Amino acid sequence: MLRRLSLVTAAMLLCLAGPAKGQLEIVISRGVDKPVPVAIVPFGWDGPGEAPIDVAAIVAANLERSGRFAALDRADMLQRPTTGAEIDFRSWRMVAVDALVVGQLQQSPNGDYAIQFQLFDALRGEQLLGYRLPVSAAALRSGTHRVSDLIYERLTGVPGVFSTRIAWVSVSRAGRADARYRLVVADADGENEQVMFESPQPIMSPSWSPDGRRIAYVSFENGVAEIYIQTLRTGDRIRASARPGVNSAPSFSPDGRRLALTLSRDGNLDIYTLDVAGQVLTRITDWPSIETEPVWSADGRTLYFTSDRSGNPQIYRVGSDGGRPERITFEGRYNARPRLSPDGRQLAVVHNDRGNYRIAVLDLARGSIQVLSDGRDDESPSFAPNGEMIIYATREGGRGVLATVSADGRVRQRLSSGGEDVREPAWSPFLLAN
Amino acid sequence: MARVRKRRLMGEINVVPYIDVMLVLLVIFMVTAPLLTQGIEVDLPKAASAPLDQPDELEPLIVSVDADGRLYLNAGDDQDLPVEAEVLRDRVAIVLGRVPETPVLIKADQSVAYGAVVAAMVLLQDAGAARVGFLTDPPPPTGRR
Amino acid sequence: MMPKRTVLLLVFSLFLAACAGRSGTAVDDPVFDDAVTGPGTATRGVGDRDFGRGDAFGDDVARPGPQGGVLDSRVIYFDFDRSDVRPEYTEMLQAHGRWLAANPQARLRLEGHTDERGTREYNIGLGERRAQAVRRVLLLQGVDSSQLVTVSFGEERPAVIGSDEEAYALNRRVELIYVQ
Repeated sequence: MLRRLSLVTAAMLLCLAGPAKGQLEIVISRGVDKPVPVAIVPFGWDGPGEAPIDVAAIVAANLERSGRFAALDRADMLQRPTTGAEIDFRSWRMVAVDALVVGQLQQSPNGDYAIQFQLFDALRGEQLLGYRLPVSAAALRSGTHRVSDLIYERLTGVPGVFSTRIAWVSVSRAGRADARYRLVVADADGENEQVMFESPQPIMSPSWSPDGRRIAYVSFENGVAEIYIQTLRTGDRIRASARPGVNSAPSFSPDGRRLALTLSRDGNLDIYTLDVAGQVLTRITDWPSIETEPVWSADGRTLYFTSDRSGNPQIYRVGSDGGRPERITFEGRYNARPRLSPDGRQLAVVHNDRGNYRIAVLDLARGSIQVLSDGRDDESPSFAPNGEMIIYATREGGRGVLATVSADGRVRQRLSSGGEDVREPAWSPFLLAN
Repeated sequence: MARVRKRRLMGEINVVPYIDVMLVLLVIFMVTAPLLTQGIEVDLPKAASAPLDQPDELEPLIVSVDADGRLYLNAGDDQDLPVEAEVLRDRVAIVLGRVPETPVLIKADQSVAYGAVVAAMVLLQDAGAARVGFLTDPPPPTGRR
Repeated sequence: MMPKRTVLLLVFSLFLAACAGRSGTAVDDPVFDDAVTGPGTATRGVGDRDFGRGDAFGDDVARPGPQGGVLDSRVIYFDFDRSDVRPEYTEMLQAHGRWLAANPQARLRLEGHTDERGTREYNIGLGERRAQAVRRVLLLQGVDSSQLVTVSFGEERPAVIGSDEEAYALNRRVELIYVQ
């Protein structure tokens, strides 16, 4: 019996298959002209045996990945202080670093850890920041990302996004009968990759809830497009919409209670909102063209969406309780899949730039479009919650890879994954500390 | 190739490095000490020289040679303790690698044997210093110690 | 061990029951699964109630539906960003339409697909539009609307992997799939 059961189980979808090895490797392909030189001195370790994690290396990698900092090579460190008192600032000025981080990782007798660090202005010798963060063994890595966030914010004035997460869809054996689709969630540095959901049928359009605890997505597991909402921590999921026809393009409202979505109840796609708990459906658009890819404004009062009512796809906006849609893109033949920047001033869109589908940002006040990416078939832009970066999918060597570009277009990175076809990245909101 | 050459230099330290250092790679200048209070305290030679024209705000590397010929460096840990020649060379090379225009100064006690100073210069040359300055005290014999 | 297994089975069968009850739900009825499964292994296993179904790939020799002649053609191709059925498919669709009208118990699934260009959700719309276009042609042949189901996969299930015109042309299609 058990054997049969496990066969059935094995044949079925596996939600939350648990940690997988981090597959994303990040390559900075273009950075700012003069990244700020910083030194992240190897942390001291106060505990038995070896330190469980190299805090300084992770912090340095995070800061470098932002494109705004260049971390000093460890071989170029003239000293290795672990407390502020041990620092000889001249030894750091001489190797031309502007800021310097020293710290210690400590283990308490009960097995928990504390990360203690100080950030200094190397030129003035002043402490800019000093923290002691207690973390559990399981949260060591996220605690280290938190340290990176604090340092980044102190040095740039912008909150760091190192402790956020990224969701995406990966496909193996794409286009074959035995294809496997996976909904994956990983830390913003590509590590700690976890498979949330796996299916032999396509998975699409992951969308984070505003609290970062749930993801809505489209799954074809029953042969048609249906919308599911899955809770990250437990892996529990509900089927939020499985109405006849297409159920697609889910997007959480800012209060997390409603979804904007696309249904094809009368044979073509229109935008609806759905009160998830009460299953109250409200029709927003009613037009014989394709209306899809809705996304909410931060105040929940406006929906931006794609419509080809003019003959080709363009971005429109409409009140979230309905009304008359207003077209907002006029530049180019193809503008689709809008995502709003956290400050509400820009829309990231897919824009057809002389035959290539590229990521562009639309300045909502001025109406101007700036192309940020340089691929042939770039898609699925998603803003980091601090608004500094946009992650998107591009194609390289015949398969999908993820890339990021700074919102000003200056820093570009490619996140390569080990041979998998990856697509539809979605950057989480800021996550509350656990 | 370069390695072989270095080894030969070290072997003939009495004559060749002097020529090599003086004529090929090193520009030597003298600096009046009061400007610089860093490094280990040594009894500097007395000589009239132009004040140091420091390149804009770059802090100089100062190699001190005490009366016993021991070396000190004003960078890294334990700056008041003597440092091994190799360590000193590595540290100077790191700094010059990051900031090539960093001034490099020798602050040798006037009683130090001439050979020890030359050895320090060779070491600095090896570390990539193209210019080495000598610190001196101003001539009046009442000058500070 | 035993209790765990029992719980697992229980949850699973409850879920199957719940699913069975849900099929054929009216349009305006809530379609909402409460948290049907708790944390643990059961949760992870539940959900693939339709593993292996709706597989539209390959040349299935023993495929269901009418056989012979033009009826063996089951794919309609489209021009870029278009959803109008080209005249060359009229004869084929008429044949399928006549056969469906004569076999009212038969069910046909129309799967719309696009090439990889453009956004994925917009392509879902485009695939649906293509499937609907084929559906309209068949309805004109006297096929009952209850015999037809449209599904759009957008660009998610390409027939051919590739980023050239040839692959694009083969991927812009509607597949006719007879359902037993």
